[in-house]
Amino acid sequence: MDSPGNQPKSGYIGPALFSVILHLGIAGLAFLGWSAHTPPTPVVPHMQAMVIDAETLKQMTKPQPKPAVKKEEPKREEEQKKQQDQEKQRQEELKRQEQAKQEAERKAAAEKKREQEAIALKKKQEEERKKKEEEKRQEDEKRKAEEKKQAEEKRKAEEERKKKEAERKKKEEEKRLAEQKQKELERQMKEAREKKRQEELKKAEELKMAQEAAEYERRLQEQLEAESSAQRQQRELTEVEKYKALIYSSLVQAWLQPPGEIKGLKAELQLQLLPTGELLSVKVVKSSGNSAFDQSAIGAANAVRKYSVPSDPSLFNREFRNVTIIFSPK
Amino acid sequence: MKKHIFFTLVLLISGLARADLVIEIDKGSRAAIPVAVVPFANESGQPLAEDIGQIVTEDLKRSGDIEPLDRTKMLSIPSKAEEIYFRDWGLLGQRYLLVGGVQYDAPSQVYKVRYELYNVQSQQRVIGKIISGKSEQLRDLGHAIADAVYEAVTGIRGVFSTRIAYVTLEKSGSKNIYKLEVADADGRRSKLVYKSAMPIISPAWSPDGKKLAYVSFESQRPAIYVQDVASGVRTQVTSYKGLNSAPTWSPDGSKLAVTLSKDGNAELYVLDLRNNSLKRLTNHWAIDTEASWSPDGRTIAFTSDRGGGPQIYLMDASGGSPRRLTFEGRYNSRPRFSVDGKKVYYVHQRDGSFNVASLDLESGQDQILTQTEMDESPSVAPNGSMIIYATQKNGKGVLAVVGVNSGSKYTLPAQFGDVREPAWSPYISR
Repeated sequence: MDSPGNQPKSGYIGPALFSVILHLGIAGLAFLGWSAHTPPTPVVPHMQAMVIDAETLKQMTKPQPKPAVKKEEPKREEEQKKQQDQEKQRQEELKRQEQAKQEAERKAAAEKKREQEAIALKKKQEEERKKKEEEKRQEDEKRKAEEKKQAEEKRKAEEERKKKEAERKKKEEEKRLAEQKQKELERQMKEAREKKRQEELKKAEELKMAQEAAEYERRLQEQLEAESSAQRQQRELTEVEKYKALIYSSLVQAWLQPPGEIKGLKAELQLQLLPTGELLSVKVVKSSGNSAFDQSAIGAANAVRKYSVPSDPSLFNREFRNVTIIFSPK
Repeated sequence: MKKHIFFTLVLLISGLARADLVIEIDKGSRAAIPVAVVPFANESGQPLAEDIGQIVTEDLKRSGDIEPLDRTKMLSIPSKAEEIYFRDWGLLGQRYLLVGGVQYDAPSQVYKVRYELYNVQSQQRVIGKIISGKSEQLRDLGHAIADAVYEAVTGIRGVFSTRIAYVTLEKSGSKNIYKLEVADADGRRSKLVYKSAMPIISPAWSPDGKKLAYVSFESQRPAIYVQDVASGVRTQVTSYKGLNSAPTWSPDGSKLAVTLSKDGNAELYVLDLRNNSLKRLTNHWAIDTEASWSPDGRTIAFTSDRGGGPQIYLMDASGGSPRRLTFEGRYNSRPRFSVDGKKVYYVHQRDGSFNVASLDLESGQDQILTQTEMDESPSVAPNGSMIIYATQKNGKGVLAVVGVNSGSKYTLPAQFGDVREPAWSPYISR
């Protein structure tokens, strides 16, 4: 952009140049007038060199004084007049120049003022624009901030929701795990209780058996101390008969004879008994030749849940650990 | 020192006593033997036309010698060894356990039935087998299993695969239709053998189980026929003037003992089927009829009223003088030898009711086996364990069976009209 001071400078060049040329023109004319006293020489080349512009030429050619050779007197008068005219002309010119100058100055001032006004307006407009831009920018910023805030809030709400959902799920899972654990615990406790109960039962059973054994041992010792060996033998014989009779009756009850004619059939079984009266094993030593009959005998031997055996260990070992049973219907 | 001698003595005595204690069991219970028949697993992949386990259960139950466990009391339904908890079955009081399964071979359309019998106490397998047959033979398979189980448990051959013949009477209007039919031993799957508007009586199986001899009145008077059951081919063997009745086969199947009145009075004759020769056995003014051959073929028991009322007599199969067998009561008739030949079963009248009784030939001891009122026509199962007879129920003839050992009784399903004159077949070889 041009600086505001440049324009007035160039504005001055025109009038200044004009003034210089004008002065030169006047000096030239004066010289010409004087040269008329000199022998006439072609002066055309001088004239030609004087022309600068049309305006100047016009002004110069118009009041062209007639070079006249007059009597001395008139000549001076004319000279004076000519000088006066010239002065007047110069004064007018000066005046005109002054006016022009003033006019130019006025114009320049006006111009300057106008320019200043334009600048001010432009500045004002610029300011206005900047202000508006600023407002717009602020507004945008505000709006953006608002949007950002909203987005932030939304994001936060979403996060909150997700967090809550996760918490809920976590709680449910925890609850489920807790229930499962509780159930497992209950089951384990139940099992433990049952196991304990079984163990206690077993213990009680063992204790009872131990007590019985101890009691029996004690009684046996008492008896042994009390009786003679002969008495003991007699007692044992009686005991054997007693338990034989008990085993006989349980087998008679347990034996489901096969139907049909079985008279004369005879099966011999060997039983292995435990001191508890339980059957350890049974085998057919001599078959009857009739499979169903043998099976019925095996069935009978097995069907007796508990054999009656003496609790005296030595008597049991001697007589009842191995027992032969002959199934022979009459 | 004294103590040492004592202990030595004790040891010696103990050593001598090493021989096991011996206990002799001379009696036991004759109660029915508990056998659990577990429903057979259906591994065939399709519905079965028959419940084999149920057939076996019913067969065994009817024998009276075996008491199958009620299915509802079973704690588990094993079908093979590894599924059995023997203790459970022992606690249920079972002596034997039958398990099995049914498979099907689609290309051949054959069912394969596996069965295994266990001794619950010893936990040992007593029998085990796979048998096969087509759909219509499923009942046969069931009966075959029942036979095998019965034999394993009792030592007696089973008769569940045998058949019975009987006569039914249907009355439609004034017309009578008599039918001779043959059915499974349990009364199922009956088949018509011969049909007539005139009476048919006294069917008797040939010893090979292939033929039936019977009396038919189709030609207005009685005649004896022999008919092949499978082919239906009939042969008239006697058509004498007067009575032609009560045919029974000799144990070898070559002869028939018959009652004929061609000589004026009802007498026993033996008809030799090989040459149609006839031999007269009795010669008495009284009625002699209803002959029964002893299993050895040497003796014939029969009914005669030569003593004033019908009584059972025995005579040599080749003839000779008869010996009176029954003296109890005024009416004893229709004798049948037991399978072992040691007893005779017959109809005995006492206090106005007719019952089946048995007489021990050696001891002469008799025993009444049935308690209903109008029991007649006893026929012994080939294993001797059961007797089938005709009796009355709601005014109609029905068939009933009594267990010879157990005394248990059952009535066959009354799907027939009025049934009479049953005859139990011998073992039928398939």
